[in-house]
Order: sequence, then structure tokens, then C-alpha cells
Amino acid sequence: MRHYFQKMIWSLFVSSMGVNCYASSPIFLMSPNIAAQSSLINGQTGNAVYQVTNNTPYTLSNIGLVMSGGGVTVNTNSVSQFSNYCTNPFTLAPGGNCLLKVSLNSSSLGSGLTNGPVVCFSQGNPVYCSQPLTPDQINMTVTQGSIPQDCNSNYANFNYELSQNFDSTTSFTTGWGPDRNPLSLSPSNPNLTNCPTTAGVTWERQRVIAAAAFWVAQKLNYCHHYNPDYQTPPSQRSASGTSGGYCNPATDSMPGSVYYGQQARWNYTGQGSETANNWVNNNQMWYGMDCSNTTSFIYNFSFGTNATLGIPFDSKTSSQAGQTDSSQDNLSPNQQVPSDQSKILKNPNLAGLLVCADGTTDPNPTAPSMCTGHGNYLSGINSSGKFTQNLTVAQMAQVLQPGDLLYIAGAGPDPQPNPDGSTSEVTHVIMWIGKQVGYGPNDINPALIAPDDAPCANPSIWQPNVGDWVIADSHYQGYDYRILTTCFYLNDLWGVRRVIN
Amino acid sequence: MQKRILLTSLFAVLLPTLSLADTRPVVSVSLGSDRANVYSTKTITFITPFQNSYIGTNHYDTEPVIGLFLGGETTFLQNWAWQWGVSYFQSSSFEEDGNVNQFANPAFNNFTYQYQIQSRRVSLEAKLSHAFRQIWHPYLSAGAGEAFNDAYAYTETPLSSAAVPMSPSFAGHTTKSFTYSAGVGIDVDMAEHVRVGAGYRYVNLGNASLGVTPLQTGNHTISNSHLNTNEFLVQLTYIG
Repeated sequence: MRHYFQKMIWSLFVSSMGVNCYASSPIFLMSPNIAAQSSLINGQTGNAVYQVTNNTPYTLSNIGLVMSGGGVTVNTNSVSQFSNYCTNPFTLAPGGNCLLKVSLNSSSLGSGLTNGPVVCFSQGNPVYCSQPLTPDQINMTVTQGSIPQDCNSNYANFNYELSQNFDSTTSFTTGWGPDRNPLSLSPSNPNLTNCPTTAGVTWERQRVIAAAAFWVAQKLNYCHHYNPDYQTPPSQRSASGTSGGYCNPATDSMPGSVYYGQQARWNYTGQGSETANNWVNNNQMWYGMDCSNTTSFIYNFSFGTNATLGIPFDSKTSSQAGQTDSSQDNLSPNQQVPSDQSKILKNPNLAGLLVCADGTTDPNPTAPSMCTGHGNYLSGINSSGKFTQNLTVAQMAQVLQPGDLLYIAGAGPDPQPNPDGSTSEVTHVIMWIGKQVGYGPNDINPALIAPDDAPCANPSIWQPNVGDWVIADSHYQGYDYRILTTCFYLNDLWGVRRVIN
Repeated sequence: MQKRILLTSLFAVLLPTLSLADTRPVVSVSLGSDRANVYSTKTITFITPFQNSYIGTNHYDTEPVIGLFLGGETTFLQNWAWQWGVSYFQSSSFEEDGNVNQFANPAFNNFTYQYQIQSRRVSLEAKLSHAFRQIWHPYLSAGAGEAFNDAYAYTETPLSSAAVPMSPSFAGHTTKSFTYSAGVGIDVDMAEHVRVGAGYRYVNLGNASLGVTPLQTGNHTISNSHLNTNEFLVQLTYIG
């Protein structure tokens, strides 16, 4: 008992010392950019990407993964002059960071992994070691059994996509970062390359919705980047809202959230790396993609390169919508003139087919049918270029299909704060999820519905109710689920494109 | 083995003495507590020029101790007596706790550390006592010998889930060290051959040191240079 009291007194003394003299600071800060899968079947390979930041005032060299056994290895296939991926081993200056991409070989992980990855200085003499905070550590179970080879069992399997290099190693645009390196579908175990052809539109829709769910879960910001793994360098962080490298500095506008009113992502929990400090001071707000780069990326992530589906399509919003150049800034689907080549939306890298008001598609972009007999094109703009504002969510729900892309004109009746073009210039794109707010297994939980910003920032506009229809788009603080509202989304609807036909 | 040799040698010396007619054999069993100064602060180089500081947080630890004394008692003058012989004492493991400052920088106090020290010692001891009123035997005692101090079970506890202890950590190590003691106390006759007593003595247990880890540069390691110990004992003595 005396021993106990003695320890207690010492503990109190040491605790008081800790307040004044000592502090716990990890050698490396490790924040997930792409979280590891929560489960794998024995034989599958998982992936994760962590930003590793040198938290010391010392330059540290020969840093590397250790203590992880054979199941966790560094994947250096994304290391290039344009990327910020870590080599193996790597060196970090004080405050420096890189992206550590790890492969998780389930056949060497037993029943799973519930810690790490562990990074040490140095790799050969692992004295100074860190891992992510508990909520961010790898937490994966490995189940036994054979890996299913059929398409339907693998619609949400993105293991192969995640193992690939997202970034071009030859083309780079200042601010926007490395261009996209087209991804491909898994060629073996399982072979998914023929699934878009053999498994049909249902599989394709399931897969693109699963891809959206995966990226919503990564909690990236809205940034003018081509890829999700590019970080605006500190020297370019003053980029304006229309420039490459811009990332949204908005404050959290979700009432009742942990960081309400502060500069932090609206759904950060305050746990692990999800802190305002990490968002602002450890680069997390400097990763992410804008709306049309996200839709382009997600379709490529879902289906690889696919000529039948027209993937990859352009990542510029207006080009993706079909506008060929700035001369078509005022051209919307119902304003096309089939006899006038300059008034046809036929950008060679557009996304899919225009959707008619009855939910059918116009099959030939170069010779538009004008949806004759199908109620014109599904658009809020009529043939005279006037916004009709007569579209309703209920009407949309009748005719849209999961994965449909809705293009919005930024200068419509509910204009963006700073419309950057002509009346019907396309400035935004969202994806119809085909799901509703609810608590069922196929619903979108209301806790996942993000706030909206101007011109629809009033919570009464965007706050979810059970039964509301859900879209996914990247604006405000990044890629999230949101309620399909008439505000902006439908009142300013330019047109709808369907990639999956 | 060394302990066995020492005991054998001591008995070889003592047995002739015990056989003397005016010398009575003595066996004492002691129980008590050792309060040892276990505080230690060290700075150790790992990857040149980077060092870690190991700063103790507890200055003292108190643990039970048990001991056995074998020897003889010789009386002289009228009420004076000498006891001399050999003793073996062993304490429970002392615990040393502290903070690890990585890079010797308090901003990176990422672990607490803990290790155990167990001390066993064999000593030659002498006790000078004087009888009062036939039954009271206040005494002075002194001893010297060798301590075998085991420092072991070094562990680091992360102060954050992001901190990962180095592995392997410091190994265990046994340090053989000169030990000496001096004390006072009193025995009282309970029967013709039985005394009970109580006493205090200062014991310097010598040095204790952990082993090294292969991760460090050099052989400098966490150590306790003088295990100064305050010992309180009760003893039961049989005198033949």
C-alpha cells in the first residue's frame, strides 16, 4: 500500500513536471491520405498512403519502414520528379514531408494487422520510430478463402487501382501538379478487364458508386489539382480561387460539429489526424481535386481506360460537358443547332451522352437529335438560352441513373459568388448517386451529408432529411455527399451526361 | 559458483573459531525493508550526433529484504560480546522509473522507462554488543562483501500511440560490486538461546548497470553508481 501511495505521489509530481517541462511529440507525424482497406482475403494486396512529416528540428536521413514484417512493404512506383512520394529509404529536412505508399501483402499478415506502419530513423538502426495515431493506424483483418474471380463480387475491389501510380511522370502543370496517369483494371486474380463489357450497366453503376464512396471517405479538400495525391507546395498556396493550386480555405460550417466556425474540414472528428491543426498546419487541406477532375478521376479509377465508355474523358468542366472551346461558353444542350457545326457540343473528350428529359440518351454527339420526341434535353436552359427553373428533384429521380453527371452553369439564377464566364458556361459537375438519405444498408446516412456553400449556404437548403436524394461532388471542402437541391444544382442545370449506357 | 566459493572459504575460517570453548554458534534470520536511492540520469548516443536522455523520476524505492547470518559470538570483559560471521541478504527488485527525452530534447519526451534492480549480497559481518540488565544487547554492526546487482526488464511505455519504442531495448546485466554496511540496533533475550532484535543500518550496495542495446553507439548505458540504502531489520537469533 505504501508503495502504491509512493508511486501515486511521484506520479502527481511527474505529471506536474510534465505540464511545465516535458511534452510528447512524435518524431514523425503520419497522416493517412489514402486509408488502408479494412479487410482483405488471404492473397490480396492492399494499399495505403500516409504523409510522413519530420516533426523534429533535425535533418533525418535513411528513414524507412521497419518492424513491419514481410507483410508491409514500401511501394515506390509513384516516385518521380513531379510527385512527393517517399523513396526507400528517404531523407526529410525539418518539417519536410513525403507520401509513403505501402503495400499490404495479406498472405504475410496472418489474421490481420492492427498497428503501423512504423517509420524509423534510421531504417538500419531503428531508434527514433513513429506510427500513425491509433485512429489512423492500419486496422485490417485477413480472412481465409479463395479470392472470388467474378465481376459481381469485385465491383468495390479497387486494390489494383490503388497500387498504380496516379501521376504522370512526364507532364506537369504548375499549380495543378502532375497530369493524370491513366489507370487500368486488374488483369489477374481477379481479371476485371472485361467486366465493363460482360457484367453490364448494373455492375458499372455499382462500381462507380463504390468508387465515389471510397473517395468520399478519404476526406480530401477541394483543390485545383489533377490528382488526389498532389499537394500544393507552400510557395503556391496564395493561388487565387481560379488558379491551379488553389485549395478551399473555408471554415467548418456544419452546425454542432467539432470544429464549427474553425478552419477545419466539416467532418473532422478531433481524433487522430483529423484535427484543425493537421488540416491547416500539416498540409491536409492542400490535397484534393476540383469537381471535374474528381469525376474524370473517379470514372478512370472505376473502369480504367475504356474506349467504349469514352474513358478517360476530359477533366476540364466545360470540355467534359461537351463544349469545344470558349466560343461555346453560351451553348447548352437545347441551344445546339444540328446544321451548324459550331453549335454542336462535340468535344472529342466529352463524357458520355447527353440525357433527354425522359431519361433516354442522345446517341450521337456529332449529330444531335435534339431529343426530339423525348421532351428535349434534360436541362434548365431552353433553346433560347433562358433558365426555366422548372426542374424538380422528384422529376430528376424518375429519369436519372446512378453515375449520371449533372453539369451546372455558374452564372444561372443562383449564380456562384464569382461567376467566371458567360450565362451558360459550365462551371460545376456533380454525380447522381441514385441513393437517398436514410439509415438502411443502401442509404446514405445523414451524418455523411456535407454542408453546401454559396449560393446555397443556408443550412435550411442543404441539411438532410430522410428520403432526400443524394449526389456526390467536390466543392466547398472537398468531395462529399450532398443533397440534390433546386438551389444552384437544378435551377442552374446546364445538362446531364450519361457515361454508363 | 563464486558465491559458493566465498561461503566455503568463510566457513573454513569460521569453523575453527566456533569450536573454541568460549565461542557460541549464532544463526540469525532477518526481515526488513531496504529503501534504496535508485535515481539515475544518463545521456546515451545512438546515431551520432543524436542522443537520448534518460531522466529518473523516482529517487527512492522501498522493497522487502531477507537475510541469513551464520557465525559465532565471543564474550569478553564482563558484558561485552563480539559476533562475527558471514551473511547473505537479498532484496526484492527495486524499480527505477524515468522519462526518455529523445534527441535529449524535452519536447520529445515520448516514453517513460522502467527497469528492475535486484541486489543479492554476501558479506563478512561483525557485531559488537553490550549487555544491560542481563537481557538487553544494544549493538553496533559493520560489514563488507560483494553485491551481485541485477539490472533487468527494461521497458519503455509510449506516452502517445504514435510513439514506438526502440527494439531491442537495453539488455539485462549483472554488476558485481563492493558493498559495505554500518548499523545500530538492539537484541533482547527471549529464552536461553533465543534473541529477537531490531536495527537500522546504512548499506552501500555498490553499482548497478543495464546492458547495452545493439542500436547504440558505444557502451555507455543506464546505471546507478551508488545504491545507497537505508535498511530497517528485525531479526531472530539463535545462540548455541
